[in-house]
Amino acid sequence: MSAAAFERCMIIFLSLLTLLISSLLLIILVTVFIKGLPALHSGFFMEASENFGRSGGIFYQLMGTLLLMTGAVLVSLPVALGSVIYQTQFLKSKSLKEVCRLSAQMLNATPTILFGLVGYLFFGVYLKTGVSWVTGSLILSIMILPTLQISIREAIEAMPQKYKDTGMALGLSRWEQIKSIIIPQCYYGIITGVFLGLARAAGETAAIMFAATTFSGIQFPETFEDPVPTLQTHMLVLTQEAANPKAIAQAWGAGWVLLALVFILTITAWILRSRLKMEAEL
Amino acid sequence: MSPVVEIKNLSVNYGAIKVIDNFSCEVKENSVTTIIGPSGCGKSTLLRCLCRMNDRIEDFKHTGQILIRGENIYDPDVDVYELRRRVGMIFQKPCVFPKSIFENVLFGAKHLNGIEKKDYESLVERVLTEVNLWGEVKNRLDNLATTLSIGQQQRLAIARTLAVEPDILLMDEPTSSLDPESTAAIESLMQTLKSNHTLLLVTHLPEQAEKVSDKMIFCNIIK
Repeated sequence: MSAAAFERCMIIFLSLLTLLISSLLLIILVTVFIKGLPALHSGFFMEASENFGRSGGIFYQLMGTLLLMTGAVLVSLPVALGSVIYQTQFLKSKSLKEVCRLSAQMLNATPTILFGLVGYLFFGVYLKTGVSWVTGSLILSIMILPTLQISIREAIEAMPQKYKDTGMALGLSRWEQIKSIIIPQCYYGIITGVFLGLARAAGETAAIMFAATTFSGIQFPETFEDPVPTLQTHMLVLTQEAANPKAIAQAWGAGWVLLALVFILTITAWILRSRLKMEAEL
Repeated sequence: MSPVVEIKNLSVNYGAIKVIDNFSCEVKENSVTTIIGPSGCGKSTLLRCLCRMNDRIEDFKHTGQILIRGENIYDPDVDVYELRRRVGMIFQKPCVFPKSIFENVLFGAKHLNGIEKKDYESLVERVLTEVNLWGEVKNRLDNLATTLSIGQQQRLAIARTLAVEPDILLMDEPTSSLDPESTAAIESLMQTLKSNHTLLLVTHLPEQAEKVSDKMIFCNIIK
């Protein structure tokens, strides 16, 4: 085979690989879309599930997922923001900075079931929050910490030095620089992180399935000790346990909603990120 | 009359690299002193030392003394934020925040003690008039400062610095990104500013140094 022909073959092979990877996403999207669509009737979003998931809607599951996500971000955001500000503005040692960066990456790579186990032992058992939405939010908040940290760090590091120099030259204290320059200038980066974190928390199942969620018995938590139903658990239980095709269809419907939720969050984050780029170029 | 700024045997190192070697000079009150020399000779570093902008650079080391009105600015008791208000700095490229013109002028002044909200408008008018920008922007103070031309942005940056009432103004090649007309405007502004302030200018343009300065200091690259 001539070199040119070999090269042509390679290009075709590599392009097929790329096509395969791109089509995977499409296959998932199309499958969920087609399979989930029949379950989506007018009341699907607003009704409680009935007959152990065979009929009705997913209102409380959706609320549960949203509750856990929101709780997670509310806990995670101040922690991530504070720690990134410390790492970028106060920490001088390059090797310590590298340790922080690496530990965030390793945290990101930790299997999520371990977050669930350790988180449940620490929060649920040791701090006595039990199997509850509070435990779930706390576990998820730790799980999404790296996502938020990476996004916020990216924004702070991309901020032109001239803004900080200007604030410094005007005699602003460190705290005033953080409050009046870094946070406002990195606003879109912070919000991007929040949306990516929300999306990550929305999709998580393993970490919370035994520490925070329930399939039935509770609709909306009334106390801090109550677990919540979530879309993820709903799908998991229905697909594992149900033989009834109606229940399977309901699971696909829940999957459709979950996917749409994650998609909206990711696209919002993506749009915000492009705003951030524009800002950095100003 | 004792000098406003007195630099005694200043040497500066970034790690192993020596940037300033045993430099001394004096700067008189209400004058324009120009530091001129090729790029890389440590002119900007010298200016940044005068308002301690290098403090946060990890391997920055200096020996010698910088006295401002007789006070050693690297003394541990010195309030560095207060020092930077007294010694204002104008950068090569004007930097305005993506906020309104009004907000930009007040950006530093807002954080000063003793300035009340009711004084904001008169302060903005006063400093913008001082830099000859008031007439051009008085009807659009709420517009984004980023919509101004670069020359106007640089005058805005000077107004913002004047609003925190500095005693000394450090200008680091303030006209290098400007067109000839804006350059002339800034140069004539220096002449009016020196009646109330002491100016230190870094430039690489001999004609500019010739035109505006009362005293010139030539720098060379360390061999």
